[in-house]
Amino acid sequence: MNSDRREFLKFAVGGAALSAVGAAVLPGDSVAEAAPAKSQHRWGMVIDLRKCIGCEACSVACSMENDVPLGEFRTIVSTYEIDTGGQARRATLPRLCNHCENPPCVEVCPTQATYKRDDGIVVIDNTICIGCGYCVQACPYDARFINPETHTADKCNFCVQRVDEGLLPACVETCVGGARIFGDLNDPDSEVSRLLQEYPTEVLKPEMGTDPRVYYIGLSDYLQAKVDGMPVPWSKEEILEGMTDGSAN
Amino acid sequence: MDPQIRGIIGITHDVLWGVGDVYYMFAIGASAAALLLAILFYAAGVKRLQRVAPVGLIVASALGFAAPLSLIANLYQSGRFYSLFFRTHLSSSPMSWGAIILTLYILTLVIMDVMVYTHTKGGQIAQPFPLIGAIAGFFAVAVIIYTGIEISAVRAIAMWHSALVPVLFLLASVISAVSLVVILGWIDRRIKKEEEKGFLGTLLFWTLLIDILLQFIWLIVFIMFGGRSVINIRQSVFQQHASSFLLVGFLLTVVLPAIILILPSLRRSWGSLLVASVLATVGAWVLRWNLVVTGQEMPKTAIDFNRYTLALTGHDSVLNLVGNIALVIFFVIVLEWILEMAEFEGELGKDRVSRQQGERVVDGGVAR
Ligand code: SF4
Ligand code: SF4
Repeated sequence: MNSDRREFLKFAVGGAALSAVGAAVLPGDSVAEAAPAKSQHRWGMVIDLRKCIGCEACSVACSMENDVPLGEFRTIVSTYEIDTGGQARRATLPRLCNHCENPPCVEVCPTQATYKRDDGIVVIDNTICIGCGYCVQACPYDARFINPETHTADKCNFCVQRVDEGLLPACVETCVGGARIFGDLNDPDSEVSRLLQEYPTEVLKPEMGTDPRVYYIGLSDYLQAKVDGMPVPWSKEEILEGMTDGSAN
Repeated sequence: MDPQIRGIIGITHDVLWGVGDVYYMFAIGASAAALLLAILFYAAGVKRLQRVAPVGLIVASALGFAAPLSLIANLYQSGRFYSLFFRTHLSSSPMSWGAIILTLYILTLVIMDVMVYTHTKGGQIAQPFPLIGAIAGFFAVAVIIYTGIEISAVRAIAMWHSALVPVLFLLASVISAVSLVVILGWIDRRIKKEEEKGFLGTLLFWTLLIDILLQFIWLIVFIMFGGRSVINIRQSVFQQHASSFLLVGFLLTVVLPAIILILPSLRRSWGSLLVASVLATVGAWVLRWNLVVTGQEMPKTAIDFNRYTLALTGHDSVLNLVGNIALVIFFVIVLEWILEMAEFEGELGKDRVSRQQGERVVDGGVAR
């Protein structure tokens, strides 16, 4: 375990006890755990694209940890082939909920089923969500979907169940290249704060005014907003069909 | 030089708000605008709308009572819809406001129905009720505005986030209301006079003209200044959905009915008025479809378009739509019957009083 992870555990341990109480009083798989009252933390993520190898281990770990239904993703590494004047290269872009400081998804939710905790994590209480889909429309990052099993809105929650227990999100824990770094933005000594100070970072779609808390190192302009180009040559439906009729291999 | 980008791994999302939501927006808009037409007579006492008003009220009530059921059925957790009323988010959610506005609107519709039922005498109302009418009118306008704002508030979808959207919704609502009133007025034969047809035809014509102008501006704005989505918008409007946007959505259902009604004499003829009304009703639907469904097909982050598949059964399906339309027809029949009864009783009452007083009964337009 590196020093950042030890640091992280140290910060998170205080919140864990309180959130355990929260979890005990809330039913089912609700993620409505209140963050520690007036949390000192502001969780965020830095994604160092120089280190991402596009292995999708994070997507798999996330789906396993959070029981994400087949065909849906809380995080995915979008992968592109970029041809600049005959020089082709591959670019990867891990996408997830940005846990925006000004989250439009929270603004529009008519029932306040989705909200931002004191520690900045945007969560959905799926015991309240009516499945209207308004938040899905409002998110500029395609980070949300309606879970076909719970019939409620779903998205990355920074693995709040792990964070509150002092653990790292599953994607961060599993990232082989160490491209995903998670930590407390309020702590000037955390690795995320250090990276933000040391390197120029970008966020996705800054023009949306959402003030994301997921920062990228090495993000090219043409991947920052909606990407224009030639689409993926196969559809989700084709892949899912292949998986169900056994022809995927 | 701009690089060539090809997607290798990425996902597209399914369109979430489909036929059921389009239908709700169409139906509730038509309902609210039809109520405004009815109020002109019942509350403001505009005499020449005497026979148009009951038709407007029937259209407003039938659609207004049935459409919210489609909205509830379209929630993925329909059973929890009641939480919209006790877990409100009025500080920033148009949908939260919408739930309250819609409820109050339906309540005022019921009150209007009861008032008209109890005040109708011999095809005329004893006296207009301006206060109730004003309240009902306020909520009718609020319903139209909130549906438009609910869409235009979504900044993430380029095609939705425009101040023109609520205005287009308002125009489409008036167009569909007038058209449906014409169609029902012809079916139930309440609307007969040249003057009434002329009024409705002229209202439809001018609303269509304004709609042509605004739809044109709206399309130009997106085709020219759609920001990062401009490539997808052009692809959508000129290639993938060219028939839906340009041919059906604009030429056949907005421009053509306006041309049909260009001569005042044609506005008074049933043939041309009915053809224009049917086309315009389709146009009001297609506008919502193009905005709501095609708008969601525009990718927010991905390269490829999102896809919409129209389901025949289940959630947000054709069957849901057919069920709700059947409910509308049922409400129309019931309301026609109730109103007829009120008018008939009123007519008999008036007839009796008149006979006692030795007066001749003036046809209030009811006895047929
Ligand atoms: S990325 Fe989307 S879902 Fe996540 S907080 Fe921002 S707006 Fe909400
Ligand atoms: S789908 Fe659920 S979380 Fe999203 S806006 Fe509707 S009620 Fe809120």
